[in-house]
Order: sequence, then C-alpha cells, then structure tokens
Amino acid sequence: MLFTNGFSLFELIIKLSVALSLLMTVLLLAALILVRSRNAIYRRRQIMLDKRWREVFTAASAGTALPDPLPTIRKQDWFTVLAIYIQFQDVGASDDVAIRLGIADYALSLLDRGDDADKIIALKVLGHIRDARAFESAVVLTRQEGPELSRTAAHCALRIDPSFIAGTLRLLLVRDDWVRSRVEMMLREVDPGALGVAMASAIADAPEETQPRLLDYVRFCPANSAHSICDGVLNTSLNPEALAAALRSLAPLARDRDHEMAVRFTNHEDSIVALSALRVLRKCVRSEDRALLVKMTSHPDYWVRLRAAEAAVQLFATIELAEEFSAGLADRYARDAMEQVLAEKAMVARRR
Amino acid sequence: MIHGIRSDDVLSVEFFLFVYFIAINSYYFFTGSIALLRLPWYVKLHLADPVRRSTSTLDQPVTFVVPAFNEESMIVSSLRSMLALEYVNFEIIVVNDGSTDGTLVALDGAFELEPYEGIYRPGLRTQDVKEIYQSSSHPQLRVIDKVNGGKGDALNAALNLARFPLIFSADADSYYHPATLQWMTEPFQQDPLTVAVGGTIAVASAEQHLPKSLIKRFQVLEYLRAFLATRMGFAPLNALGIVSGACGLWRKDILIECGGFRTDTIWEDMEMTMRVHNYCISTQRPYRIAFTPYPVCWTDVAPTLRALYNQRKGWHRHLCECVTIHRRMLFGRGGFFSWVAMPYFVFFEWLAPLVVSCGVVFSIAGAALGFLDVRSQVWLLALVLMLAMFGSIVSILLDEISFAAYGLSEVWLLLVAALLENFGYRQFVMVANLAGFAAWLFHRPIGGNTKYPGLFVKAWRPDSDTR
Repeated sequence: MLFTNGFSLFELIIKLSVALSLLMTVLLLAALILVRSRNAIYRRRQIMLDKRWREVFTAASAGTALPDPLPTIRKQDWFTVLAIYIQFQDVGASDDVAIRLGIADYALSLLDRGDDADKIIALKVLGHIRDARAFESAVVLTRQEGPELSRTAAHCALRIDPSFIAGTLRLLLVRDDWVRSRVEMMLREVDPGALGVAMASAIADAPEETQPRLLDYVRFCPANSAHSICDGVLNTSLNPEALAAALRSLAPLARDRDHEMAVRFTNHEDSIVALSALRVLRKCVRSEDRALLVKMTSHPDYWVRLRAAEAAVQLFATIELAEEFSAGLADRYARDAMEQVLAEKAMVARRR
Repeated sequence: MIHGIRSDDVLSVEFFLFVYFIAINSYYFFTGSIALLRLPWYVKLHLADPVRRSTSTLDQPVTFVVPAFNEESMIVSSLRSMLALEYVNFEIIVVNDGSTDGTLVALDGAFELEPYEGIYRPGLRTQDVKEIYQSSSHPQLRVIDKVNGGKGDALNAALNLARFPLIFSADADSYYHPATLQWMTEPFQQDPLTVAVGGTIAVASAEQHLPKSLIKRFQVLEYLRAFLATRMGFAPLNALGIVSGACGLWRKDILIECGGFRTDTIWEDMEMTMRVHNYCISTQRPYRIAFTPYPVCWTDVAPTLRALYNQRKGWHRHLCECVTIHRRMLFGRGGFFSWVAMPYFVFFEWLAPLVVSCGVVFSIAGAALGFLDVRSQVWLLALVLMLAMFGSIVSILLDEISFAAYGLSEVWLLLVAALLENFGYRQFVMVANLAGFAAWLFHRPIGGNTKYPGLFVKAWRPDSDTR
C-alpha cells in the first residue's frame, strides 16, 4: 500500500513539477520573443534616431541651417538623443538646439526621477550646457555611493562653477573609487592656475595619509605650483607614501636645484621613497653622485637598483663609459641592474 | 517488483534524484535571476558612461602574459589583436613553453625578435629559460623561450619578467577587443580591494556570428550559460569561483603572495581563483573578485568530438583537483564563497557526473527490470528536459537583453540547439566528465605530453583550451 501510495505521490509531484517547468519555459520563451521583437524595433529606431539627430547636431555645430521645425522627441527616445547630444560636447555650438529642444529641462527632471544611468547622462548634458540650476543637485549627487554617478556629478558641478574645484579636491581625498584617468579628464578642463591654488590649499589641509591621492594629480598644475606643492610636502611630511608621491610628481619637472633634495631622500629608510628620489635624481644627476650611485645600485630592492642604474647611465656621455662604470662595480646585482638598463638603451638606439 | 529490492529504497533513490535535479536548477534559477537584475543595469550604465580610449598615464599599467605551446598557426594574428589594444601603458610577454612546432619562428618572422639582454629574475621557480627576446618592431613585446613545463609554469616565468602591477592572463588562440583593458581595469580603480577581474569570453566564428557546426553551437550555449547566467550571478556575491585563464586580470602582488601559479594541476585558472579566495579569507584580508560581463575576448571552441572530449575531461579533472585542494573552504569561513559557490562546485559540478550517470543507469535498469514504472521515468525525463531548456532560454534571454550578439534567425537556431543538446550532447559531455573524474581518481594521464606523471601538459592546445 505504502509502495503504491508513495509512488503515486511521487509521480504526482513530478507531474506537477513538469507542468510548472513547462509553464515557466513557455513564459520565458514568450518573454524572449517579446524582448527580441522589441529589440528589433528598438534597433531600427536607434539607427533612424542616430541619423536624424546627428544631422541636426552636426548642422548646429557647423552653424548651417537647421531643420524647421526641429524633430520632436518621444519619451522613450530621450535617453538616446541625450547620448547622441553629449557626443557633440567637444564641438560645442549645439547648445542653442539643446535649449530649443528643452534638453536642459528634461535633463533636470531626470536628476529627480531617473535611475543612475539616467542621472549620469543628465549630469553630462547639464554640465555641458553649464546650467546653473543643476549645481545644487549635482553637489548632492557627489555624495552618492556609486563611483560613476558621484564622479559625473562632480564633473558637472565643476563645469557649471569652476570654483567648485576646491570641493572636487576635497572629494578626491575621500573618493578612492573614482577612475583616475577620468578624474584627469575632469581636472584638465580646469584653469591650471586655479587648479594650482586649490591644490596647494587642499594638500596643505589634508591629513598626511590622504595627501598621496592628491599628489598624483599635481602634474596637471602649472610647473611652478607643482614644484612648490611638492617642496612643501617634502619639507614637512614624514609619511613615506606622501614623500614618494611628491617625489614622483616632481620627477618630470625636476631641475638642477632639486639635486640636493633628491640626494637627501635617496638615503630614506623606506625604499619606496628612495625609489622615487632616484627618479628625480635621474633628471639632475651630477658626476659627484658616482659614489652614491655605486651604493644605490647595490640596494636590496630590485626596483631601487634599477632606478639607480638608470640614473647612473644618465651620468655618462657614451654607453662605453657606462659599461666601464658597470664593470667596475663589485656587487653582482648592481652589475645586473646596469646591464639591464644598458641593454634597453642599446635596443632603443638600434631602433633609431 | 523484483525480489530483494525494497520499494521504499527505490522510492528514496527516486526522490533523491528528483531533489538533486531541483536543487541544481534552483541554483541556476538563483544565479540567472541575479544576472537578469544586474545585466540591464550594467548595460544602461555603460551606455551613459562608456569606456574611452586610454590616453592617461594614470591608468594602471598592465602586463599581458600569453603562454604558448604549439600555437604556430594562430599566435601571430592573436598577438596583433593584443598589440592593437587602445591602452596607453601595457607590455606583452609571450612564453614559448617548449613548443615543438614553428611558434618561435612565426613570432620571429612577424615581430623581428632579437635577444633581450636585460635581467630575468627567477623569483618563482620554473623550468629553465633558454632565451629571452624583445621585438624590435614592437618594443612592448617580449618573448620567453623556455623548456616545457605546462601552462602554470609558463605563467610563472612571465610573472618573473613582468614589470607592471596588473597581470592579464591571455591565451595565444584568443582575440581581444581593443577596449579590453579599459573594461577590465576599471573595477580595480573603483574598488581598491579588487584583486582580480574575470572577463567574458565569447565563441569566435569564421562565419562572424553563430558557427555553422552544431558542436560549436552547443558550446555557444554553454558559454552563454557559464558567463552570463552563472558567473554574472556569483560575482555580485564575491563568490566567483573561476577567473578564466584566457581573460583574467590579476594583481601581481596577490599572485606572488599566493606563490604563483601551481604547476602540478592540469590547468591553473580555477585553482588560482580558489587559492586567492582561500588566501584572502585565511589571512582575513578584505578582497573582491569582480567580473565584467561585456564580451572582450573571443576564442575558438573545440571543433570535433574528440577535441571536446579531451577538453571536458581535462576541465573536470581540474575541477576535481581544485575542490579537493580547497575542500576546507566548503562551508568554511568564506561567506558566500564557502556557502554558495563551493557547494555549487562540489555538489553540482564535481559530483554531478556521478549522480547523473547513476541516476540514468538506475532509471534504465529499473524500467527494464520492472521495479520502476516506465511512465514515471518518462515524466522524470520530461522534467529534466524542461529544466535544461529553461536554463538555456534564460541565457539566450540574458544575451538578448544585454549585448544582443545574435540576429533573429540565430536566436531561433540557438533555441533549436538548446533542444537538441539534450539528445546526445549533454550525455557525451557527462561521459567526458566521468572520464576526467576517473583520471583524477586513479592519477591517470589524460593524453598528450605527460612530462609530469599523470598530467596532461598539452591540455591547452588551441583546439582544446577555450576556457
């Protein structure tokens, strides 16, 4: 009896499961067909929209005659039109069309009701138009958790009001989740002079442990500002990360008068600082550094040895003299580092 | 009823098999649901804020490492796709791992190699390095020529030469989207805890879209299921169990801290992923292994049944190695990885061929011997078929709502393939998996060059390694 009942019950469960899974599969198939059909229509419409609005924005950018009246935008097409519009940002002169179309008003409304992607595209549009009405909302959105949204909001606010650079730099101290190449894009739009002033102030006020986050962007300031900011950190900070970041930023700008400071930091106990100091020294190396370089090419850290070897090679006018220096080194690892640098230099020379 | 077989035992076995199928499919439903929620959001976000060509020196520099064993036919075109990457700061290290064909000659012919006189620091022990070359036409390309030691060994040799803090493990038979590195490096910048990022691999086809071969179409479905439905579902839980060897970006320091890639397993990708989980959890280091669903890598899949059999046998053997090496992670202290991903790998991947094959034998034998009702077995079979179709349709739907890689006619062809794969293909793969299980259990070689006793050193030939 149990056997019959047990199997009957089991068979019933299986049948129900089959029915349920069949129903789910059929529903899913229907969803797939629906999505597929919608996608096909959507794609055709995208192509049409792309063609139509590119013509409009290109005409606006080129200053040629615009279609009159301008095409209307359906609700579901707004995202696409905004995405096309922001591709014309660099060309610039399509703002008049944007105003006539009510793009700014629509983008503003998206800031209140859209999802993250809607808000991002709206912020890009509003930042481009520099619509002051969006400033407050953008500043609020910089505090959002999502890195893409908060970064775009900061960019928008910065475009609307360049004096927000101080606020942006304060945000950079806490937002280590913003993609740095995109931050660079943002900072490059700011007046370098204003950036230098704001950067100096932000770094001076920042706790030592967060200073390196800003120091990597010092390179976008004018050379004099960058120099004085780095000097300030190097003269006051005890944090190896901050010192290394300052030296790293200083390296491309290094001048002869930085020599003494570079030599001083090559003796730093933290190899990350010594490494960065050698990058500076490479730019202003002098013949009197020979003994120092012999010592540094024997450093326990591979990268320090390599950077010291690079600096040493800069010291000599010809590869032969550098090879002579290398041969005179007692330490095998020092010779290895020299050989590596010389080999790469020789390859570059051959390629030329 | 057959004498000696108790009816409640039969019922218990039947019920166990039923619950097992439901449990497996619940997992797929769970991960598929997460993917269905996440993918549209991800796609729309990237439409609003697309990745751009990298022109910034602030982008993290990346070392592309490309192990190559007998890749003469494909390596040059594959490397050209890597050299065309739109990224400002990257280098490529190809490791010719004792190829017996003309791989090195092909590289020399295409990229004008000359001896590299720099220093090679063998921090990780590998087979002997014979020579290192540098391309005179592409200065960012270097080639290590070494004695054969397997893929893990080749990757370790490349790690020894790599200069940059991020390591991209690539395959010599795959092609990469020009924006691969932008897609893959952004998670590292957005979350400093990120230690690895897995990328999505799609099936390459000479016909541009869906391959004509049915075997390849079945594999297209498998790739869609694996990447869009499963990995996309596990990734938000930080429970990704595998970062593919053909498309994975790693922090170099974590690879070194973990001791480099293992050389005593058939493959290295899943083992390294699990080891990184294990290492970070054991050392209480906060970490994240991310996943980017945008397809950035295309690879050729096994074109013949023989190649497919060897590939799956090897894959399953590697899975066996991984779940036993990292068995302590199962229901351990690793959060979602220990409680969601590991049970999936152990019960529904590792043991699946055993359970499924036992179930098939039980059903057929039971129906033939009369202690099981044929009708109920047919219903059970119908259930398995329905659930398999369900999983495949979810994957096709995921592709459709995200990247829509296939045209309308191709979607229909994929649906037909989703139906057909249940009649022979899945069973074939199960047999290959069983063979892999047996090879692992009895330490038997799978085939090819058995430099290490019992290991399949040639497992990553172009026709067999597509993971």
